[in-house]
Amino acid sequence: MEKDHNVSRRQFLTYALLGTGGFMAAGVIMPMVRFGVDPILQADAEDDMVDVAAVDDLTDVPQAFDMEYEQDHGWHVEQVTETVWIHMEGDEVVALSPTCTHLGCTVNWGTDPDNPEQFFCPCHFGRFERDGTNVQGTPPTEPLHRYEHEVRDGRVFLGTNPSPQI
Amino acid sequence: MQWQTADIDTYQQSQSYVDTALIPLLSVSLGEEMKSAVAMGEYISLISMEMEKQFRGRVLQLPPLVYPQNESQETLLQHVDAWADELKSNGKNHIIWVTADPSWKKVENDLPGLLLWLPHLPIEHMDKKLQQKTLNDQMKEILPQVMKEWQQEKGL
Ligand code: FES
Repeated sequence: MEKDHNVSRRQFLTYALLGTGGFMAAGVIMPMVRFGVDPILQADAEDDMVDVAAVDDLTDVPQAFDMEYEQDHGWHVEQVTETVWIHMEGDEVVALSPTCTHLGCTVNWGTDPDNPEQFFCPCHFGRFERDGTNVQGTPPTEPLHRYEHEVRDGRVFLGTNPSPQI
Repeated sequence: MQWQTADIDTYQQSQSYVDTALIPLLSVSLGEEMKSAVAMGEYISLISMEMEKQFRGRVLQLPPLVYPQNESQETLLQHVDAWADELKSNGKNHIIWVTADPSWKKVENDLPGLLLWLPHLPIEHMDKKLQQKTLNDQMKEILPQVMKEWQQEKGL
């Protein structure tokens, strides 16, 4: 009888401590989950598009526009500025990444005097057509990557992840 | 490419395309000139990063060559030559030295490779936007100089 009594008291204490401890642990862990993990999940969930240019400013000649946005790494927010080449192909907006698909240098429009109507990479003389197609016989083996876009009220919005166009 | 494990694999796979090394030259002083040395260093680091971004497929950015401000010119040139030897024996044809330290101007001709001497701009007092614009403008002037260096088949 006495023994049983002892055990149950110890049990009570154990449960009580577990209970309090658990509560305290939750108090510590929950904010960590909220601040640490949540932002990463959010960044994945909402792929925000960024306002980059006015449709009226676009021509059939590619022009460089700055795309500015905040990249949420979960533990810190980074300000990113990227350059995008944008032009019109008929009624269609075409937004291309300036990153050469060979080894990653930055390409420019029309800087090779012999090929004024192409993108040119100064590093190993890679070239791309206006629509981003790589020119055969130059080092790049795939077209420039393309940004997803949407036109809202005369403004061009771009996704922040250019993807391969093959 | 950067001096980082993540980039070095790519570097080793495509070595023949990466024939240029980029080395910042930074003078360090804790005396009277400390403030300007820090500002110059910061500016040159930003420029180097920007150049790396522009030319990453052909240029390997190395850690800077850092020296005390009163280091003799002779010692420095010896050091620079040793560096050039190491690079040359590993198939690098071009070295780009980038600095804001005016003393390199005087020995430009003894320097193996291309010296990009850039007057220090007070970029640390600018907001992000203006900073980026200043860097872009600077890059527009740097680009043709680098292209010219590459036109000389054998730079080193
Ligand atoms: S990185 Fe553009 S051609 Fe090699």
